[in-house]
Amino acid sequence: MPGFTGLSMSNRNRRIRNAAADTFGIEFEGRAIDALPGESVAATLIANGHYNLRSAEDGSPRGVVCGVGVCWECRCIIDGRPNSRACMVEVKPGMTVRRQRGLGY
Amino acid sequence: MSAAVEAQRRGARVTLIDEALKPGGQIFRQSATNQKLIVGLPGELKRKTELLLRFDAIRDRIDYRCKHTAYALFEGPELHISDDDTSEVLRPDVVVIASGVCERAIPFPGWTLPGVVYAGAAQALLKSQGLRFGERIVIAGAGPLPVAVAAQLVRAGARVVAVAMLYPLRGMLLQPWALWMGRSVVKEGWQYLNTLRHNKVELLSAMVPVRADGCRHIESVQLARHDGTGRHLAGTERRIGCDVLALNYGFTVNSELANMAGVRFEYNPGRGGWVPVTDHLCRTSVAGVMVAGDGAGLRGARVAECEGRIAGAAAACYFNDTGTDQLEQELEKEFRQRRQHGVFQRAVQQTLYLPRGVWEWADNDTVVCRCECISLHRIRQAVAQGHTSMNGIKRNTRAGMGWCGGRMCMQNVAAIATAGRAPGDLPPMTPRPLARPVTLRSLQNQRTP
Repeated sequence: MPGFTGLSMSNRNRRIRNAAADTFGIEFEGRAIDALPGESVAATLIANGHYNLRSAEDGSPRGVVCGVGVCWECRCIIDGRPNSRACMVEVKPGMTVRRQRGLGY
Repeated sequence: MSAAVEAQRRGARVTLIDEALKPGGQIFRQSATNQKLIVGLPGELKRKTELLLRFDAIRDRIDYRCKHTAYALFEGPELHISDDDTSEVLRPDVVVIASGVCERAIPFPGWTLPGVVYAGAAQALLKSQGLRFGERIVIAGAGPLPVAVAAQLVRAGARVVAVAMLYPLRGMLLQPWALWMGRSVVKEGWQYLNTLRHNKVELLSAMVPVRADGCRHIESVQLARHDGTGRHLAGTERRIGCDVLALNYGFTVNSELANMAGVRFEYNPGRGGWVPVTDHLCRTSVAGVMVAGDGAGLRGARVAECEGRIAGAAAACYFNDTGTDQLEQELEKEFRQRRQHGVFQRAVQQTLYLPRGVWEWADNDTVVCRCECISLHRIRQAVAQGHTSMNGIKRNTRAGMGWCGGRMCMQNVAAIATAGRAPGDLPPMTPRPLARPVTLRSLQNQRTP
């Protein structure tokens, strides 16, 4: 059986809530993506098909692992602040999120 | 929560430190958004609503600190807490630790790829964010959680293609007494299994992951049958395409705070590794330090809830020895509930037993300590050089020195160092403050109470 490469960038399949009038935009790696109020940054990124949030010190790609703030694998640069856990930060309009490389400094 | 409610009811002044944004913890996690999301079965939802209502009733009468982290605990007790920008030192009469457990997975090639997650993460994102994590989901693990998470995801409309279990589920049938004692939980489990059957989710018995493949995220997982001791059986491999692989091979007790305070520990593999020793009233060997719920050994949400009530009551009467007999009488119902669920939980713990062969899944280059990128080979090399204690391995390789504080890899490193034979012979690493990462800014802005 072939691998599953068709990771869709649309958020229709992943969010239970419908994108309503209160949808707003944030920026991930320079591109605009849509977010819903109350979501964590991790949820917004996953809903938009972005699983790869960081590259570790050995260069390997990493993403959300525990989802509850224990593992620190989803740390990225949120509004310029490195080592922010995407799963623990609530998304806000106009936020900019970047992939973190190594320690992020 | 349960302990806070009970202690407040008995007249104690209560401060509750919670890492989350909203009360509820892991099991009764609330939606982060204002939309109502129904995840779980009616029985669980009823218990959730009841506890949240009881908590809401006292919320204004206690000092509830959400988004706060307890990063150190010393004898006294002296508890250090912080939020994003400030820190504070608390000196209460009693500290009740209800730190719970975190999930555990076993390293295998490709397990660090984005999209390979813990089953609890998929569940947490569903409960709090209304998110179906994954378009084609495979779940692999042991014990009850994989089945529950699979069913909850399916009910929310996600596509779960297969659930690979370490042991066949029918093993539980050999313990009719345990099933009867845990009948309310068994009923929920049965409903979850029915959901999977109706939705044609494949249940794969005695199958385990071999490797996860993909470029920037997981694209497929290779599974294989195992020989009963955890070793892969050649010729039984099967590849399944997926964008999420959710894992759960048991739990690790979040024990850093109790350990730092100098509490006596014992090793109990079924209960989450090294666990603090507590008496029937949740007291530890250190005065003023109590541990309740899964943080004192994995026993499930129901035990945690009634043990919270026990701890809350005992904490309120802690310095009032004359009340102990009366207290024990009043808590008779809670003791009985805990005993009853305990029988069932011991049977559940057996399904989380990891056979020795699972420590052969990883190859030399597989990362074991995710934070510091330490490979299996590096850990074996350190052990071969004579660094055989956890502290020695940590000092020599940096495994367990990273962001998570060793919570993700400590049990796995101990198992690998002893080839799965006797991880209990290796006492945990000496816990150093800080138990959680804290910014210098927080330490600088110390508030005085």
